[in-house]
Amino acid sequence: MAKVTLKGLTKIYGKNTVVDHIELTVENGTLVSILGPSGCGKTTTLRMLAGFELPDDGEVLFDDEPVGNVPVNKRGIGMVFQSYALFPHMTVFQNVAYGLEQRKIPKQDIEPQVMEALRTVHMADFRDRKPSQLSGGQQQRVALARALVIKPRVLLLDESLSALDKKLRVEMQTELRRILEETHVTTFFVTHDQEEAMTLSDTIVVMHDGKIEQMGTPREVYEKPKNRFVADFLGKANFFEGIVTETGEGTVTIDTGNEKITIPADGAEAGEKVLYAVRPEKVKVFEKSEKPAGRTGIDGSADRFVYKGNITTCTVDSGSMSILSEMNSGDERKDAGRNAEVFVTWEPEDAIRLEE
Amino acid sequence: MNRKTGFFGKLLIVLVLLYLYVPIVVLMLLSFNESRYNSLPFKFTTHWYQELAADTELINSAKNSLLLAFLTGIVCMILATFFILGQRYLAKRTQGLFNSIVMMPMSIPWLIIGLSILLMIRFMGFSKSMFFVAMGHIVISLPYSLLVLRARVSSLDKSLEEMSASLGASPWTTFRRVTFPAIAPAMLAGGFLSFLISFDNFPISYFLMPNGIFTLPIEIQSSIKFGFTPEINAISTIIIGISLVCLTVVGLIMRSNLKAMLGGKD
Amino acid sequence: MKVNKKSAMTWPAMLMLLCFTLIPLLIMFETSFRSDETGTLTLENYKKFFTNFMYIKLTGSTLLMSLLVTVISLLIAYPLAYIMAKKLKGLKNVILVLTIIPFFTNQLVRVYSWLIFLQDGGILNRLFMSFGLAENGLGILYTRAAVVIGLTHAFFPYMVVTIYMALERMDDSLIEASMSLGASKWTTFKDVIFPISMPGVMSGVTIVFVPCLGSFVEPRILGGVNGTVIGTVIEDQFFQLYGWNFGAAIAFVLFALVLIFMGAFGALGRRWETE
Repeated sequence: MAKVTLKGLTKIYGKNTVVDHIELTVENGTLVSILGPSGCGKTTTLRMLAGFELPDDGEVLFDDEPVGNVPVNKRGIGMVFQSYALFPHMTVFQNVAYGLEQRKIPKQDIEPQVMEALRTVHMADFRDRKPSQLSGGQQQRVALARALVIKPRVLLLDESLSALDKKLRVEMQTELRRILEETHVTTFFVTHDQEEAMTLSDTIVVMHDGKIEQMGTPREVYEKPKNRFVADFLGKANFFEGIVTETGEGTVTIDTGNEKITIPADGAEAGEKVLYAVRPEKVKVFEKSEKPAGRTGIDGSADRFVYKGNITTCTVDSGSMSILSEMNSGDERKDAGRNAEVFVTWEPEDAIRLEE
Repeated sequence: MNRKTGFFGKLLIVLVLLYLYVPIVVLMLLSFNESRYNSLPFKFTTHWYQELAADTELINSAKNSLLLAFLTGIVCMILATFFILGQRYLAKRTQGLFNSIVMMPMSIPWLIIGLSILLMIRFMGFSKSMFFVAMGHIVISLPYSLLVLRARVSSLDKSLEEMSASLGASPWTTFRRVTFPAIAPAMLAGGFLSFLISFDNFPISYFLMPNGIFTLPIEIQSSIKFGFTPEINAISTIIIGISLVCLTVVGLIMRSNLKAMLGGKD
Repeated sequence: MKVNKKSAMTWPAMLMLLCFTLIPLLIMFETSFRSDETGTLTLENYKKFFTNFMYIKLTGSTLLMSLLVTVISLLIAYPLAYIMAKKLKGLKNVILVLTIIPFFTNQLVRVYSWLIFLQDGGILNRLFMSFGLAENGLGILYTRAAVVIGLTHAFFPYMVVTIYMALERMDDSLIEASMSLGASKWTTFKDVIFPISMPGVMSGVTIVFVPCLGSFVEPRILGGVNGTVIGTVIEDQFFQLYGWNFGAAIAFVLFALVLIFMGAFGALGRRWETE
């Protein structure tokens, strides 16, 4: 268990800078998700943490000690691979015992530790099976037990849940969270699934083009995204961009280049170039006849209302842009029908001002 | 992981390639050397090739070898295709048994297979003939064709055929339109491998060929036995040349199937 | 039990094997129990073999030779296959093809090329002599060493292919997983890479060991009088001495040896795999 620091960590392949001077400090026992689209450098970052790749610049520190010269097998990491990488010729027990054997732990001490690790992941009954006789979820648990039994200083999970089906994945997320809270090990979790990152982590690091775009708690990065990429990658967002021509009481008028629109928003001054994001669940849709008096908003025609179980979505076309709204299906609402004339609005504080 | 090849790795590759090629290249060069006793200095000549061209016995042996190899290649291709497709419908246990039986000749020295067929011919009171030579070549080459095909067929989805059948296609149509196109490259590669094995084979032909009829390997063996003559260098060079041309052609036809040809997954 | 009619497609191949491998082997087995003089059933052929020290010695040296060739092949083929599968990128197909090409050239031709290469006055000798490394020529030709060199040359490329295929199939993250669990490179090789590539190693061993044990042309050409092996003894029985039934008995002993050793290799391989 260790505090992990990345100092100006850089990796270059040929002409591509895959990881570009990353700075990051993670306190002991934190669960960090590195989230980003494929090719953003998240896996390379993880592999440099593990020691599989050597950084071209910068360094990795565990508890403030550089580990650049420590090879993988001495670094004290535990890793769960995307493919699980269970040794096919060994039983579940042998797989989990493997790391302990490398640490020259006496034979009589190995068995209880292995069994304890297997019990933690509820796999004790499968100790003599070969990996090929296990389901994906079970293999995943064994891989986790194998990585945890060696009491690593840092645990690394590389897209470890992505091979499972949706239901199993959600189950494993909860399991993983429980196990990691119990073991209290500093964990890096690489994923491209934002929901997974939200569920699992204390801290989310959003990466894009080898750089960290934003870092914070799940709530912070979702509710206060810094820029268009983060707002777009974590959940959905409606964007409004242009030059402010006028501001009012909780309203901002923007010249988008095509037209001037007035939206509910705060925190801008005339003449500024702005970019606002509005989460679809904050967008309220009213039928034209029920339009609340005195509210600022946008008129448009609603596409069909799509019922999706817990939520109902609707895309509103204002003529020059389309605005997505997600409403709670439980709310009492009349289906306005196809191409109904509607009015959409939101609270000024729900318009998030983004950096360019 | 580290993907760099170290000094010793490179050295190994170079040494292995030298080991593989130096004797062959020396032999090819000597086929153009004037000296009857492969001695130096090197003096260029095509004399030995001209001698070859006049040697009708050698040409006949070459014809025999080619004929045998073609027959073996084609029969192995057909037998292997039938077997591989059919064995999928066997019960697990029978499947294992059948498979280990057809693969048997791979783990029996060819000397023994050749001799046992010779003994059978005598036992049954037949006389040696090209027929038995061909049969011998086929059983020893078949496992190799099967290896190549198995890699392809095991990745072939049975449900494709079932779907075709469910669409109303007759078994023959299903084979022609669905199965065949999928496995054709592997069939060809398997047949080609059998062709080469037969063309190369000495032990089986040696034991079973009727007196007075030769194949190329037998001819080569007897010339070696009766002393070095650069004519063997010449014919060896020609064989190597033809093999290389065949390999290149096949390689170009099925670039992506190179691995299948070598017996692996692709 | 319901049998799918389509399984009848396996019959032609099975029939071939029955007629031209299984039945001949049975006939050979029967023949080996017949006296060469009287043609009656007897154990004298086997007695003759096992009581003559020369034959036993020859069997031993043939086995030794085959094992040596197999081990040398493995020592060359494994690192080569490993480098191709796990280290090289662009060049690997080129080198793989270069390794395979000699296999497609006539085997006798390749043996013969060694004869030319190694003979007194041949290139290698001249080379060594010109550097003052050997005064009267190397004298390698017509020794056991020449036979081993030739047989290795003849069979090891196949082993490269089988091992390469096994390693190529192997997921690289298994190696990384082993390293991440604290294993050294050597332990990773010994406990993970090698056991997982075992099927490829086993077919490679079969493909080298079996033909070596049954070889007779190569030893004769490269070994001369020192090239006597079981294979040449059997050949002589059939073509020089006309002791066919005795020859059949020796062939059967050879066959049994193949079976025993393949079984032993298999057990050894499985043991390494699971330990």
